[in-house]
Amino acid sequence: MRAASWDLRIFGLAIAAIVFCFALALLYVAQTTALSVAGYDVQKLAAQRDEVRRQNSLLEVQIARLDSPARVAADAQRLGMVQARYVPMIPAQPLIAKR
Amino acid sequence: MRPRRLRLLFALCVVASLVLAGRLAYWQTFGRADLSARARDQVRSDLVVAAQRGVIRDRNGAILATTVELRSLYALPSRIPKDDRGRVAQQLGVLLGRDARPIQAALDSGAEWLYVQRWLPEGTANAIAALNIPGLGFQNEPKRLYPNDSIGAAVLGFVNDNGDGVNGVEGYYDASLRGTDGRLVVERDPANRDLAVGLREAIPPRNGADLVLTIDLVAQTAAERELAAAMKKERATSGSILVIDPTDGSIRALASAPTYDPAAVRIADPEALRDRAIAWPYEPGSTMKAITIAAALNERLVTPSDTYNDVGYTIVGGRRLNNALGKAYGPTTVTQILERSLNAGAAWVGQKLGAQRLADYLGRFGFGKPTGVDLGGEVSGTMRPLVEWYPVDVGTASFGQGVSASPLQLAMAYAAIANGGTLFRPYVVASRRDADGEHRTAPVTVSHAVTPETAAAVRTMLLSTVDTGIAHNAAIAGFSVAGKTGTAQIASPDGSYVDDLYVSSFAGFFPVDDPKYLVLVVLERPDSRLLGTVTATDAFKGVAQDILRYARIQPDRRP
Repeated sequence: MRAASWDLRIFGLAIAAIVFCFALALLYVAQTTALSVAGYDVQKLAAQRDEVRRQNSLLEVQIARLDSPARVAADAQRLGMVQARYVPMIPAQPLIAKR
Repeated sequence: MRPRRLRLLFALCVVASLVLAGRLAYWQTFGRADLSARARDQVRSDLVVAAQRGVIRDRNGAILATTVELRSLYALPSRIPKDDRGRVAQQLGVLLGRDARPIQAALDSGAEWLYVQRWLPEGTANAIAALNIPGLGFQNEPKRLYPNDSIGAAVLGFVNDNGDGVNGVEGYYDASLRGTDGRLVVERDPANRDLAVGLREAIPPRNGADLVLTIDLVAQTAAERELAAAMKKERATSGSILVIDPTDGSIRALASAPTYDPAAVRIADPEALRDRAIAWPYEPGSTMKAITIAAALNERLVTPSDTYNDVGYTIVGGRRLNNALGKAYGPTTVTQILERSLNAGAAWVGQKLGAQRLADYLGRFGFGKPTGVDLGGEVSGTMRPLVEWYPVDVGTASFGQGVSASPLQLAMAYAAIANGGTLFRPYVVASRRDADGEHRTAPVTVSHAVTPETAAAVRTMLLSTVDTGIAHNAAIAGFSVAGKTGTAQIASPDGSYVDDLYVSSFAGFFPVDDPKYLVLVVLERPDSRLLGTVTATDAFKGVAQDILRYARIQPDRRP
């Protein structure tokens, strides 16, 4: 009777060990899979980030083009405006002195 | 079966097993590394991660040059059905603005992979992507862009197809701008995606430094506009305009003509790639008279009111040196030498100085050696060693013949007069920002050419030259302007001067009491010959008036 009980205990322990190892392996596989999936997500996000940065750089260049004094002058000329050769300026000092 | 045959079969099985076991043992031991490497190579990807080239901005932060990844269109012709290639080429031709035939020829060439067009504008790339044509794809490639097109080309230089900076700031600061490429080693899956759990070794790239220039885009645009107008009016072969801050030697604008678009260097005239402001030594002519007189004043050999009798010429070293048009003026003051731009007067002052002192002062004002400006491709003017001077040279050098200088050298000499006598090293990079932080450029003093008192006296004389003298066309209502015109003959390779062809120039600064800007205009071979200085002063005024308005400089005179 005692020998049979001992065998059962050993058998139970072996089964438990196997189940534990299996669970451990399952956990490892699940984590690795999750990590891989997260890795792919990171890559997608990094690609999106790079594309947004690229678009941002292109917009900066476009702003610089639109802000270019030469372009503004050319557009003004197209609208019929001309460069003023003389702009009268009033010195500030005499006005300040009068106050 | 007989036992003998069975034994033979058994022996064969044993031998086969031994051979297989031996082979297996070999691959597991000696061949293991090779096999592992071959397996790893199938999934491993070793990439160079390109460093981003630094951005170049003007003093107010406007982008002058930047690198952006643009999409390049490539084709895998084998994936485009033969019958469809004509239609595909037609569609691409319309969108790319190109003839469809070369595109179709490329698709039919049998190539496995080819670029259809590199660095597409974003709109074009989107339009092609929308067609969803199989066998076509895009690849991002870095491209240097210059949002202001040809404005500032001479200062900026360009980047060639190998990614190397050439000329200008791009050339001089190439090592700083380009940065250091990084490296990424990863394992990839069959879909060419990085494996998060695999091998990963990364050396991040060190991006290039960003540069902030001393250049002001508004002043630069004004300089380019006025230079282009002057070149067109005079049909000059070349020209240059420089705007300098005389207080520290920083360059606010540098224009050179002919010019080019740095983003389209392939189609540029090779002659346009030479920056006339720093790589075009010419004989400065009459603009040199102010330097000669500054030297003589500094040595107390003359005063502005000293008088000599001008007979229209002077004899130096047995040779007769005439005034322009041979005109005689009688009793003439030193100030009037500048006001009337008299060669005989300048030679008279030069003789008082003597060759040794004149050469010494020319050296102090920076002639005969490079300025050291931080731009690629500087070529200095030349000044022969004193031992090689003929007796007449002291006379001719006094009014700018026999000595050559680049426009920048001359501008810096005038800047020294404007700022009280200090010759600065010119510079265009105000600061450099890299991973270690910001590094600002400090002005560098090259020499103290003359005393502040001498510089002030020459400023007054140059003011008089504009107010009542030969350079009156440069006067600006409401502002004091000092300056000097120059009409120089052009030396030919045989040592003589080219007939009736000149270099016209004007160097001026304002406001005279506290000069904020110096502008030099130089035109080579203007159509109007001796009157080319009128166009040069017009260009000076155009630039100066824009700067005065833009910089909100208060008038210092009644209009």
